[in-house]
Amino acid sequence: MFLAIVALIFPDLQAFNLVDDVVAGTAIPLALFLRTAALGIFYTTIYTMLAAVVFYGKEL
Amino acid sequence: MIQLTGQAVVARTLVLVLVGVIALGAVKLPIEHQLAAEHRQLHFRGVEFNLNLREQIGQLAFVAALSGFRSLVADVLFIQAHVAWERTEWGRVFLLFRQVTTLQPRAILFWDMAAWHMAWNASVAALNDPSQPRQALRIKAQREYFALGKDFLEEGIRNNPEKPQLYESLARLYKDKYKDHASAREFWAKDAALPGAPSYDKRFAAYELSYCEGREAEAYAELHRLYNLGEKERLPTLITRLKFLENKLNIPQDQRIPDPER
Repeated sequence: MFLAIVALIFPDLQAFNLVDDVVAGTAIPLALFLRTAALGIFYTTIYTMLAAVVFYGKEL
Repeated sequence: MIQLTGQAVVARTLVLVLVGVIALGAVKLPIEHQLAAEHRQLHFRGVEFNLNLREQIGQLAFVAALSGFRSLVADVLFIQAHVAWERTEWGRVFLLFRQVTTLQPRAILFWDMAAWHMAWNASVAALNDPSQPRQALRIKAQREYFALGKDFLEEGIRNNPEKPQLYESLARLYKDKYKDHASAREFWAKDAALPGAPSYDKRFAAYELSYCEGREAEAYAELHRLYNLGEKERLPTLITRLKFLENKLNIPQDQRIPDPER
């Protein structure tokens, strides 16, 4: 239950961990690369918006 | 009154954000699952960070690996394994290569090198071990090192089923060390079927088949098929094996291939 909540709330940053396979010479398919990049943009946009809502009007 | 309104606004904002996070979670989870499944299909994320790995590589290396320095830790251990090889410390070579291949299961070089050290180098050292006077025990130790080399290659293939190199290494191990031509043929054939495999693999698979007792007719058909592909395939070993099988199978003279020009 706890892990399900964690998975629901937090982004899966492991999806971006492709460096070891790149080091090993494995080709990353373009489609996978684009989907991962899109997921990164999606995370950045949504979490920035949520942060803006929370911190709006606060003295920082 | 103003403070109450402020609290209500904060509460409303928090509820909104919470609903937003949960809605986001519902949207992102299927995408993340799909990406994870694709990673598994492509054999990414080969390393599991668990107690077993922790015991293998030690606490400092484990922390380093967790911090994203997995490939760096593997490289340092690989260098240590090389030094251990220079000192012919075979037990240490084995343990270090186990750690290296656990940390970098997608690096073909590590699996191949580990198997080579075990099945080719350590096995010869065990057979010529001057501290062991009994030949039977030396041969036993030699065969144990063959098995360790085989284990490395099989595990490497499980982690990299789409790469041809390890199939070829396993075929060579069966051929050179076990003299098991049927298994060597099996792995050369599997290797030849993979994209990016060297062109000689299909010939080597046929050569090995020609050494298998009871499969001469099958080998003859395969070698003949390769022979008919053209001049490029008509290499000395192929012709020699084909001639051998023609004699063994008593192929009629008019169906035999011409003798090679001297």
